[in-house]
Amino acid sequence: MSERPLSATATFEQRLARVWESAPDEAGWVTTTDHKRIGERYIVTAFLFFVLGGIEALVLRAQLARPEIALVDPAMYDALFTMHGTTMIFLFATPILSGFGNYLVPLMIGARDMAFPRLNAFGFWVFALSGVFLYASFAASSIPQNGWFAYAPLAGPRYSPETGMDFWTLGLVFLGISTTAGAINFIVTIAKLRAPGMSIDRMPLFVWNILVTAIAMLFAIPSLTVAAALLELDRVAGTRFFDPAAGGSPLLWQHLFWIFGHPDVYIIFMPAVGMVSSIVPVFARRPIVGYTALAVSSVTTIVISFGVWVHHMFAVGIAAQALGVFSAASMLIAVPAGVQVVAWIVTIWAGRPVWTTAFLFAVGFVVLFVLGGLTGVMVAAVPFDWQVTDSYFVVAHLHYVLFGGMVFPLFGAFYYWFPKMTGRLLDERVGALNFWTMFVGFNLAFFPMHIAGILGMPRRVYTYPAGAGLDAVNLVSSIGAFVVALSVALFVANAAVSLRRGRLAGRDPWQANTLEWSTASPPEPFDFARLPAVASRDPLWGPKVANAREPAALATAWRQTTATSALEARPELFLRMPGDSIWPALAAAALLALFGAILFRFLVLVPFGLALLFALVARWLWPSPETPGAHVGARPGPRELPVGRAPGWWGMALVVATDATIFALLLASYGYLGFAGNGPWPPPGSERPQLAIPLVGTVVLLASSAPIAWAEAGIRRGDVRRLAIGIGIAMALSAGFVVLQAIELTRKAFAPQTNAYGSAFFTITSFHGLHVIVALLLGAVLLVRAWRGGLDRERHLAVQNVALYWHFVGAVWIVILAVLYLSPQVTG
Amino acid sequence: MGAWPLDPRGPVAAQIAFVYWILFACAVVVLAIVTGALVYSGVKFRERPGHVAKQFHGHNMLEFTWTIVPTLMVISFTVLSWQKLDYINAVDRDTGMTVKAIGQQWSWTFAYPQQDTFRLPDGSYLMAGEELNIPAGMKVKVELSAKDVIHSFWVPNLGGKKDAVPGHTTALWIQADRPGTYRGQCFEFCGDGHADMLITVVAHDQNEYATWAKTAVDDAARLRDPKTQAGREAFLTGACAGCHTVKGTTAAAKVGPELTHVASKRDIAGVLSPVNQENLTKWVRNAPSIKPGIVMPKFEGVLTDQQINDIVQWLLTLK
Repeated sequence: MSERPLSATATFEQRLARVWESAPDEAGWVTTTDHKRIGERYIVTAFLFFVLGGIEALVLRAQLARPEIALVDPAMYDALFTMHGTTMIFLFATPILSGFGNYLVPLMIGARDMAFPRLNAFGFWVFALSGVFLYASFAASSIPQNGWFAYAPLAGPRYSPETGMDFWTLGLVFLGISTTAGAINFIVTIAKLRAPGMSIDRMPLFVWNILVTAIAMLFAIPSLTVAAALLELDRVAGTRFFDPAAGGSPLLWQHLFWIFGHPDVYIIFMPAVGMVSSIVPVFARRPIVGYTALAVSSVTTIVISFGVWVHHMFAVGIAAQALGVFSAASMLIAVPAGVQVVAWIVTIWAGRPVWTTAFLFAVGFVVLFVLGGLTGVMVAAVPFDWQVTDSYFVVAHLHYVLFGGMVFPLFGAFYYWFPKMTGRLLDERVGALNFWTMFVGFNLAFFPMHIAGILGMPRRVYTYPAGAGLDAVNLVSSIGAFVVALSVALFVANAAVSLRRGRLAGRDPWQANTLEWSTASPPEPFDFARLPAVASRDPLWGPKVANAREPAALATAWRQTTATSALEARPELFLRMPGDSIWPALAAAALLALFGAILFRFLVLVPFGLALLFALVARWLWPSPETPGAHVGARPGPRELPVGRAPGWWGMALVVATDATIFALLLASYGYLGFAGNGPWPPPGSERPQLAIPLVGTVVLLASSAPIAWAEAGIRRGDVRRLAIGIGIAMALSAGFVVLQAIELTRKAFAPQTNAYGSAFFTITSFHGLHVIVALLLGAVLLVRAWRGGLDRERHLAVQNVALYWHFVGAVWIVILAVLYLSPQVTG
Repeated sequence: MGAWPLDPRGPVAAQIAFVYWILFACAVVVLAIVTGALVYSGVKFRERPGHVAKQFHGHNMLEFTWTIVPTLMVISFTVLSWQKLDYINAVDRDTGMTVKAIGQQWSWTFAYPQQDTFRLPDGSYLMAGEELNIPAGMKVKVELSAKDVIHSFWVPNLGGKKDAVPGHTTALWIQADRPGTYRGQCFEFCGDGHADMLITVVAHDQNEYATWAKTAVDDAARLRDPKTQAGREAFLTGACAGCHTVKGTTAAAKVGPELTHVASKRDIAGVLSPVNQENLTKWVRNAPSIKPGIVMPKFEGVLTDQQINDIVQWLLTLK
C-alpha cells in the first residue's frame, strides 16, 4: 500500500489505487503481489529461458548440419540436448503459460487479484530461482547429460556420479513447488473469484483450459517429484530404488516419469488451445461454435492423458494386453482433439475472418497441430511405434505438437494481448513477416526429421555417418532452425520498438468479447474500479456489463474482491486480500539454500533449512494487525451474504489432495517393486514387520484427531481455552507417535541402503513421520496465535486448516499401516 | 538398400510397412481436408463490405458427425495394429534359432545357441561382438539383456525394436528374407558413446551358414588357445577392449584401430615395422613416445611387465 497522501476530494479510483498500488521503490519491486506484474515477470523470465533453450538447439543443429563433424564433443552434445529439453519443457513452456494465466485469469473473470496473491509471488520467485539453480550447472561445469527424461540406471549414482544430475533432480523438485503452488492458486481463483453471474458455462474457454490444466498439474507434478526425489535419494543417500542388483527397477523410473510426462504434454498444450479459442472467435467476428464441445474436449483430453503413459514405453517389453489397451487409449485422444479442430474451422467458416497476425498464428497452429496429431496417431499404433520410437520421427512429431501446438498459439497471444499489457499495438506488417518466417522455418526444420527417422536416424546422437542418406535432410533441418531463430529475433525487435512507438491501443483494439478488454490498457493496479456482473458468455458483445454489488467503503479500506459460488457464481463473501509482503521472496530464497545444501552434500544443514523455511512461511501467513481506522462498521461480509467455504480452506484441501497423490505414488512404487521383482517380498533377510509397536502408535495417532476436532468445535463458539487444551492433548499424542516410530525404525534389521525394499520402507515411513512433525509445529503455531489473541469466533480459518491436515496425516497412516505392515503378514 | 517402408527385407518390416502406408495415406487425406477447409473458409469468407457473420451456437448433426468420424477412424487403426501386434510379438512361434544379444556401454555382444555347430574346443560356445550372423530365411529370436544401462536394438530394414533393460530379459524376432548386410544401432540413449553403438546383421545363405559358423568357431578357438589365455583375458577385461575391436571376441570398440589381424599387418600405426614381439612390446609400453599426440596412453607402470608380455603373445596369434 503506498504512503502517498490522499486529498479529501480524492475520487473512488484514486482511493482504490492507493490500497492496490505497490510501493514505487525497489522494496515494492520485491514485495509486490500484483498478479499483472507477476504475470509479466513470468512471461519475460520464461522468454529468456526460451532464448537460452533456443541457442542450445541452434548449437545442436549446427553440429548435425554436416555428418561426422566435431563442433561440440559427445559429452557437450548430451549436455546441450538435456538442457534444451529441460529448459523448453520446464522453464519456458509451463511458466510462460502460467504467466499469461496469471495476467489474464483475474481480468477475464472480473476479479481484482488471484485468490492467494502472496503464494503467487512465492511461485514466481521459486520458478526464477530454480531456473538459476539449473543453469548454475553451467557455471559449475557439471551439466546434466542424461536427457530431459533422465532414465535410470544411466542417471543413477553408478553411471552418472557427477554433480550434473543432482542439479537436474533437485532443480525439478524445487521447480515443482512453484508449479504446484500456481496450480492451487488457479483452481481456487477460478472456482471462487469469478464475477457474479459468470456461471461455469459462461467462463471464457481460456479460463476453462487453465482450470483443467491446473487440476492436471495437481495430480501430475507429484509423480515427477516422487521420481526425482527417489533418484536423488539413490544418489545422495545410497538407497536402491533403481538398482536392479538390489531389487530396484529401472522401469519404475519410466513409469513414474511418464505418469507425469504424458499429462505434462497436455499441461503445456491446453492453455495454448485456450489462447486459440480466445483469438479465433474475436477475429472470425462471431461467438465460438461448439463452446460446450470445446470445454468437454479439454476435460476429456486431460482425463485420457493420465491413462496413456505406457505409450512412451512400448518397446521396453510390456505384456501384449497392456500394449493393446494403452495403444487404444492413446489413439482415443485424437477424438477430442479432432472435435476442437473442427470447432475452430466451423467458427471461421461461419464468420468473416480478419487476417491479423494473431489470427495467422492461430490458423498456422491448426495446420501444424493436425499434422502433429496425425503422426501421434501413427506412433500410437504399436507396430509402427516399434519401428520409429526413439528415432527422429518422434523428434518431428513432438515438435509439431509442442512447437506447433504451443509456440504458435503463444506468438498469436503475444500479438493479441501485448496491447492490453503495454497499451501499445505490435506492428502488424512485421507481424506477418514474423509469422511467415516462423511457419516456413519451422517446417524446414522439422518436416525433414520425419524422413530422417524413417531412414533410421536415432535421437540423441551427436553425429551420423556420411553417405547413409541423412546428409541432405539434416542440412535442411539445420537451415530451418536458423530461420526460426531469425523469426524470433524479428519478434523481439518488433516488441522493443512497439513498446515505445507502437500505435496506442485504447481499451479494446480488437472489438473483443471478454472482460479484460473492458479495463484500461494497461489495467489499473485494481483491475476493475467497479467489479462487473456478467450475464452472457461474451459479455462485451452482449448488453452493457452491469456493476456487481460491493460496499464501496470496504473496497477502499483494504484490498477487496468478491468470492462467489463455484458453479453458479452467486456472491458469497467479500474477501479482504493480503497486502504486499517480503516473506514469499525470502521463503523462496530459503528453499534455494536448502536445495543448495543438498546439492553440495552439506546434509547437516538440511534440518536447519527446513526449520528456517517453516518459520518464514509461518511469518508470511501470520495475520497482519487490523489497520487502525480501516474498520467501517462491522467486519466485512460474512453475514451479509450466504457463507461458503473460504478460499483458504479450498487451498488447504488442494494441498492435501496433491500430498495424498505423493503418498499414493510412493505406496504404488513399493507395490511395483514387490510385484516386478522376482523373489519374495519383503526379500529374504528383511524380517516380516513386527506389529506391536506400530499398532500402539496407530491408536495413539488416530486418537489425536479427536481432541483436534473438539478444539475446532470449541473455537467456532469462541472458546479459546478449549482450543488450547484440545491442541495440547493432540500434540502430546502425536509426539508419542513420533517417539514410538523412532524406536520402531531404529530396531529394524535392515537399512534404506540394504535393498529396494528397505529403501521404500524407510522412505515412506520417514516421509510420513515428517508430516507428523509438521503437524506438531502447526499445532504450536496455533497455540501461540491463541495465546496472542489472534483466534476467535470470527477468525479461525487456520484452525480449520490445521484440523484438516491433522486428520489427513492420520488417514494416510492407516493406508501405510495396511500396505507396509499388514499386507506382508498375508503374502509374506 | 532403400528405406524400410519402400524396401522391407524381412516379414516384420514388411508387416509394419503395410501398417505405415495405410496410416500414411489416411494422414495425408485428413491433412489435405483440414488445410483445405481452413484456407477456403479463411479466404472465401474473409471480412469485406456487406458480408455479415452467421450467428449460430450449436448444430447437433455437425457435432455428432465430427465426433463419430474420428472415432471410427481410430477404432480401425486400433484393430489393425492389434492384429499385427500378435504376429510381431510371437517370438517363440516357429522359431529356428535363438541368439542372445547383450548390450553394454557401448557395444553389443552376441551369444550363439548352445549347439554343436557353435561349440568351441574348450567347451564354451561361440560369443562375439560386432556382427550378428544369421541364416537368411529363418526366424531368429533375439533375447535382449543389458549389463549396465538401458539399450535398444533396432535394425530398420528387418524391423521391430526392443529395449535391453538391466535386470530383466526381453525378446524380439528378426528374419532376413535374403542374404545381405543390414545396419542398425542402439536406439536408447546410453551415454556419451550412444551414437557409436552400432549393430551389423549379416544374413548368409542357409547352405553357407554352416561354413560361416565353422570359420567363426575356428577363429574363436584360435583366439581362445589355452597357451595365450592369460593375455586374452588381460586384453578383454582391461583397458584394451575399451578402444579396440578384435572380431570374434567381445572387444568391439571403435576408438582405436581394429586389431583382428594385427599380426599380419606390415607395421604398427604406420611407424613401427615389422610387427613382432619386440616392437609390439615397445608400442604397448609407451606409444606416445613413438608417435607423439596419439590417443593411446602409455601402459608402462599401468600394467605389469608380465601382463604386457601376455597381451603381446596373444596379439601375435591374431593373423
